[in-house]
Amino acid sequence: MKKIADRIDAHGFTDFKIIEIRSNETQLYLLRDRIESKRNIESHSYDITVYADHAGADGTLRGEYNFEYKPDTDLQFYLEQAKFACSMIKNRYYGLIQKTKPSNVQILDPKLENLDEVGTQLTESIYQSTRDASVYLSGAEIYLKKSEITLKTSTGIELSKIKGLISVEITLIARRGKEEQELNFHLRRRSIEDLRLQQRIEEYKEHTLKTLDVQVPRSGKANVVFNASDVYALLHPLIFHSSGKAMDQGISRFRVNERIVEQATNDFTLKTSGILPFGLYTDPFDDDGISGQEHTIIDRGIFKKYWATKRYADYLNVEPTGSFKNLIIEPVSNEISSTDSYYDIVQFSDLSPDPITGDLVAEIRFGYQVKNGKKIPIKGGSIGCNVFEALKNIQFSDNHTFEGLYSGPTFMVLRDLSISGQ
Amino acid sequence: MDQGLVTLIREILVAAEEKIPYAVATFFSNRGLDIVLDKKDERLSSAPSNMGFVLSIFNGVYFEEFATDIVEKDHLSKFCRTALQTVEVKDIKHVLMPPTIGKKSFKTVEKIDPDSIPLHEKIDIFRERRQQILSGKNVVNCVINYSEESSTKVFISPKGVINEEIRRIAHYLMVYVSNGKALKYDYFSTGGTGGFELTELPEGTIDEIIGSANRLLTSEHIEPGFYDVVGTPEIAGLIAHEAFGHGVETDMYLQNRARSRDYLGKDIASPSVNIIDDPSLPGGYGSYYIDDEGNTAQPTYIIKDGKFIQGLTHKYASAVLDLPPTANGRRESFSRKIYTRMSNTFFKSGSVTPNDIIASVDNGIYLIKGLSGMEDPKGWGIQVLVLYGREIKNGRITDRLFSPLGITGYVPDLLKSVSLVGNDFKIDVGTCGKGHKEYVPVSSGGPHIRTRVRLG
Repeated sequence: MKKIADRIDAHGFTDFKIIEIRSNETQLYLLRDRIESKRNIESHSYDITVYADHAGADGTLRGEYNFEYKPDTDLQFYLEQAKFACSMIKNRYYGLIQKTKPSNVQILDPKLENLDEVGTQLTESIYQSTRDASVYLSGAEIYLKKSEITLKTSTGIELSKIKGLISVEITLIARRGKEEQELNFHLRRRSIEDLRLQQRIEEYKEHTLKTLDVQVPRSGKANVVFNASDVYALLHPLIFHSSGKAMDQGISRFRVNERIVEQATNDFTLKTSGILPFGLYTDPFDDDGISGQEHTIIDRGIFKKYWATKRYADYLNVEPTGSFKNLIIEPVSNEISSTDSYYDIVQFSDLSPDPITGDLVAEIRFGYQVKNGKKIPIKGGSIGCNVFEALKNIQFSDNHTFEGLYSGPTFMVLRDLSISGQ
Repeated sequence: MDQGLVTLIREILVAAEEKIPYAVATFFSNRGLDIVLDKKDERLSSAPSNMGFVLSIFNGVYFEEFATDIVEKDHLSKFCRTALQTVEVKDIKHVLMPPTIGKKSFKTVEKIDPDSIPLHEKIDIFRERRQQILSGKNVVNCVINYSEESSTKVFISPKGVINEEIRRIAHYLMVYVSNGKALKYDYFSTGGTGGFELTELPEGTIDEIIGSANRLLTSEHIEPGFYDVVGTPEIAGLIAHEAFGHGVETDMYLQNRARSRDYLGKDIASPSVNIIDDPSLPGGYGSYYIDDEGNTAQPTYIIKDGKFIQGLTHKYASAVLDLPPTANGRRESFSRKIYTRMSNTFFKSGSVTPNDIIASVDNGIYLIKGLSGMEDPKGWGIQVLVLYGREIKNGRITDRLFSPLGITGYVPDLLKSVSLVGNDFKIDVGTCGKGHKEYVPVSSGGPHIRTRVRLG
């Protein structure tokens, strides 16, 4: 690292940031009752950004260039290319973090000491939980990764962290006679305990069985339940519009100390957290060197602050929070008004609201129409709304859960959404 | 790639061939440039190097792969020898054999070599486009993105060495407009395999996207229901890709995850439907000369005259399922496994002009620009998100604009409803995931088509 820093300095750059990443990964692919593939991957690379400043009429301007460097390749080539590139870029000036104190957070499960062993244990656990005749394992993919990351900047920061990641994707198939239907689910966690693997498999086995009796929902308006695993994706437009970058570029719809939506029936607090234990985006320090913290972005319906990397924090002259980390939602009220009929969506095909407009159209992969306490399995058709409009009429469950990158109510209800079905 | 290193790796594989018949190695590397300009800032970066090495061994039962991005000669030599010693072939009768490949070399044909254009000239071209966009009506911001990547792959087996170098160009323009109440956007993308000539814009492109972004400020939400629709080549491509591309990736057959398996050789679409996947398509963004298992790229007729002819395969699926092999074994990078993947997937052109197709619709929607899609091979559902569509009334496009739109439905119903296929042809630039991961460059497209779908 020091040798690389010295060579960057020798090229006369104003600043630099080097992120060294060493990782080991084990991947296991299960194909029904057998292994299809086993993979072991080692990796070592550097993500390097160099900066060269220029004098401008209104002050200092910043040239910058980013590249990936692999050991034993030609660093000189990249540095010369970077020098040339930096001479052509004249962005507004922003500085690097001068000093930082990393947060003491949990990002590595000690059980990930031996990745192969954990892979074997998870494989056995999956096989044990899927021995039913009515629902069988179609396939599974297990990814176990451990990464050591070191950040070094020209401003004197030098920090290291080791983080782990567990990713499990499982496909189950329910069979009745010749008819079959599937459900696939994906879990990403930092701790094995948080996977709650057997519990999730049991839940999905039940859902998968019900896929054999699905109906297409009817077109019209309906109240829709979004479960914890979908909240981050559903609220992505809020995250986008609350970014310093969106504000700087003139496309944020939020203004500090103003309501995020008018005439809302229920308010909530939205936080970004870099310190949630074993959160997927929990981080002792980020790529800028900003320590993991918790920030309230929306306080009971009122927009309070933009989250911003160091670059956009400098542009807007606000406190740098770092990139948006784990999402925390704290409702003002947890009351769910009684409703006779609603759709409880277990899985969307792809829940990707447009971050800019907030428009959402998502196919129902599987869920239930709940009517007078009776649950009818549904599949097909789509749900449509504008997320910002829908937030005017939102309700939250009173129980709380943690879902990898989200902590908050177990589900939320958006009322009177458009359903396109039969 | 260092030829000495390639020779060394091949010698190691040959030495182990008697004990391990299927051991192949692949080097990957990438070089290139990304330029991103918006209203206030400019960013330059080198394309991700994706440099890495994979040793792939079939042990008679399953694949064992060893991957590293430390490609120093001594390290790699030890890495390979250790891996080959670790693996034990469990069932020699069922071992796969590597392709007979000899020694070949391929390189993308470019009219204008991107390396011949000085960096400042490239940036100036995109700065000029930015300036033109920012001077447009109601424009509050824009993003100009240019990416050039030269991907090198060296496939080594005891039977030979193949070298391919693919140059991919992608260029996106995104325009944000606001009337103070609403914020909308439109985009344009172009690119493919080739040179800098792929960044040329058709005349009027910038005015057109500014105009359509402004029209979106007054767009309506559509009443959910079934509609007669005409899809542009972009929409046709998305349908081909999601409906009968993912659905015929035969690694899904291994897991019983694709319903199309039951329809091999049967009529599945209207007779006017022909769907092809062709990694050898000249200029296609998803084109390549060899797949990641050393198979030579060639077109596959998936649907011919409405009949499902053949799925796409990678080596393992083809061997286990006893299906004809196609060159569709692809991996995202050295750090990921090979799956059956699409390349350039498209409807084959028909004989009707796009104008005649639109004129044939009394009451319907002209679906213009796509956003994304998601497959469901087992349930045979389809989801395609469309940025906007325009009303067709009495065979003419009106000023009414609907946005966004979601196509959902049952794949065979949709394909059987295709009633007209245009005589035009266009393919786009994209990346495709398997589920929510494993992204590889692809394209999709075709001609204008008329069909009937559920819109929401």
